[in-house]
Amino acid sequence: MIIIDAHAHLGPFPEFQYRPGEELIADMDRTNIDQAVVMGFGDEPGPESALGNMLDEVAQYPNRLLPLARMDPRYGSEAERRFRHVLEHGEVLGLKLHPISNLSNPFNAQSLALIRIAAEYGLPTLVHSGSEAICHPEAIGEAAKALPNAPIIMGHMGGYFHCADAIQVAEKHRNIYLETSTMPYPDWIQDAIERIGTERIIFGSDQPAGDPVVELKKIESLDLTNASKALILGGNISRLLKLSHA
Amino acid sequence: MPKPNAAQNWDAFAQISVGETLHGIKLHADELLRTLESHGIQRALVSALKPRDYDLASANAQLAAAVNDQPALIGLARVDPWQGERAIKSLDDGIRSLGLAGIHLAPWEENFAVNSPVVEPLLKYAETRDLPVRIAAGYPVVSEPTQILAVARKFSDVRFLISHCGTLDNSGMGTEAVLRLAKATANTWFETSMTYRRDLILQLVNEAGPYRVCFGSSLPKCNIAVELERVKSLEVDNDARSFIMGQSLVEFIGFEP
Repeated sequence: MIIIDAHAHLGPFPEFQYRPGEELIADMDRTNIDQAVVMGFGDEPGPESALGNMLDEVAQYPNRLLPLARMDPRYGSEAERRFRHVLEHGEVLGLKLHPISNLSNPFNAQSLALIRIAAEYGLPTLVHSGSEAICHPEAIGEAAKALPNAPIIMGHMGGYFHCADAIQVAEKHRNIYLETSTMPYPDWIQDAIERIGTERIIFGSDQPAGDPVVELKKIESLDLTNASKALILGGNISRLLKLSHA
Repeated sequence: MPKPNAAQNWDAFAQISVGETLHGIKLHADELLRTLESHGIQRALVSALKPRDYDLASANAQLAAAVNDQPALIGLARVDPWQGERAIKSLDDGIRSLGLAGIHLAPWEENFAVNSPVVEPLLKYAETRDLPVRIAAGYPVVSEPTQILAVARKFSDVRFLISHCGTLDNSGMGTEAVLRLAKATANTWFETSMTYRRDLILQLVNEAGPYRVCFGSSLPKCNIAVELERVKSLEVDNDARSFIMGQSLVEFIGFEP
């Protein structure tokens, strides 16, 4: 079974400690994670050159790390241009949007423009979800409604307070996928599986803040067939990213 | 750093159902004990889940009856500060008549800000009687770490156990405020359940001391095996782990049962 962590961070960011690639790889080896979908802590364009720094790290581990471009929609056409550039050069496998970081609703025109570009390339967008209105599952649902052919991964499946909302949104929009990191409730993951199926549930850890051991334990604690577990731990994200082992 | 001497593992944050609960969750005292025992935990600090009839005085009485039959469980009186004089009476009954050992405050479910003046009579009672106070913490609007900091400073002789390490912000932005709370106060302890940021738990251990960090399960809301993993996977030495798994909580409650 191939295990892919669909949500990991890499690079420097003041609020979090610097996370070099070698530390991430060491954590992955320790926890038997084969590959990790990685994104920076900061947005592009931005003062930290987050995307360039991250891609430099990724280049050292091309078979283990699967990069997403974390973009700032407020930069409008410049963000679109830079995103298209890395897509055209095959440097990234999708988009990350963090509404708390870039203060942009996922359903606004600038965010939708970036999600649309990812979808043009047949690639997904991972959107952070949580308690704040700007990243509430229903806000992400509005983006999914506007772009029904764009696969959207809802990071943290609603977080601490909005798992029920996340599942409801995923029931309404078949292009929504739920990623399991940080929320502490295996029962809600089980509920989601029963209501939307295993094909739209995706394991993630939110490393380095999140603990991959704990996050894997959440999946292990579920009542799953081996086939379902394989989909959640790697098969589903592999399919979305069009990896060769999908 | 003091040496740990706890021989038992404790769960610092569990709740049990007494009658019908508001959210339909059930966990009876005997079920809790079986679950804890199967995971190597001997004792727990418990309060009542919110009853469907909102009658916390009655819930405390039922909780006391349940824990009095189970010496492995230490009960806390759950009180709603909006009840004013009735809250004080309910607390006094809980402590003096029912034998409960401290206070459980649930700002989110009882709908009060933990730093509101309405809470102060309860905290003055705790101060007078040297009672430990457990706060369901990290909830937006009502029990954020800076709100708790204001309370812990004002009631510096009261011991506070802060659940979920003080933050339920999965955007990760609560960490700095929690560390400020930990460094600015000596009367605060931090409970680990639901804390997704391993670096926060580790920083609390390293910067506040392992004797102020306590393992908790958040049963029945959470999964104890997952919650135990948060502590098992921490890169700390055995002494620190012993504090987290038991001795820290003994020092918080103020007596060795």
